[in-house]
Amino acid sequence: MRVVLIDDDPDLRKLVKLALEFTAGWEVTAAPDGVEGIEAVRRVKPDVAVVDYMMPGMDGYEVCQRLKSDPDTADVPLVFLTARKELDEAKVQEVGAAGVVVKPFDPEHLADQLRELCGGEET
Amino acid sequence: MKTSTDYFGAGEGDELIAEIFKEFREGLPERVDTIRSSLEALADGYDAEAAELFYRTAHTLKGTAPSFGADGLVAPSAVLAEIGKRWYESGELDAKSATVALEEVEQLSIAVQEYITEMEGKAAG
Repeated sequence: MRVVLIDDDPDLRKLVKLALEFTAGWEVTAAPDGVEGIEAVRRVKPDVAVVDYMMPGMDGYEVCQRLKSDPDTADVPLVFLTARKELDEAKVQEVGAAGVVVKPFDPEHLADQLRELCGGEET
Repeated sequence: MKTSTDYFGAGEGDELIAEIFKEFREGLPERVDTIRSSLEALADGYDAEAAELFYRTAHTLKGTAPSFGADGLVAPSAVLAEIGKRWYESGELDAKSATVALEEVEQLSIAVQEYITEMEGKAAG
């Protein structure tokens, strides 16, 4: 599986990247903001893009809107990474995201969570 | 409290995960400094940039800390994020919430020191 992770927290990016690469053998491309993230999704064409909901500049919602409105990236499943309190279910559905991973997440089972949200089989 | 070795068990990933935990731990004082300095900037008069930095730094820490076993950081950073959100969205800050924010920054600083001490003890032991 190829994943693009878009999150502004460098420590969290490292943790998610290691978790997915080490536990699941996935290939992770990490981006610190929406602009670089969208570029990475266009370039990598990942099996899933994991997007922090709240980021400075372009927030996760806008990132997803842009990806879904671009024919080159519209089919990429999107999963929001977010704290429960800020979750807006209506927005998640409106933008066509596959689901949400709520922080704090368990790094050891993150790959299973993503696979399940994107319709794949659990390990 | 989870430590780096609670994830992934024993094996070749241990060193990598321990390094990521160490980087998170070592970066905590800078995060607290950012929150504190943006709060100080706001004390001189409302500034949207400082309010946003204050809010986002606290909010990010609230979301990231539990994944690093830093559960003690969640409550103070959550309060700070909530206050910061109100300031940022309203475009003004009030004296009462500024006093609460000052107290919470101190609570956060203490929680950070406790976390660092505990994690360094575990890393050394």
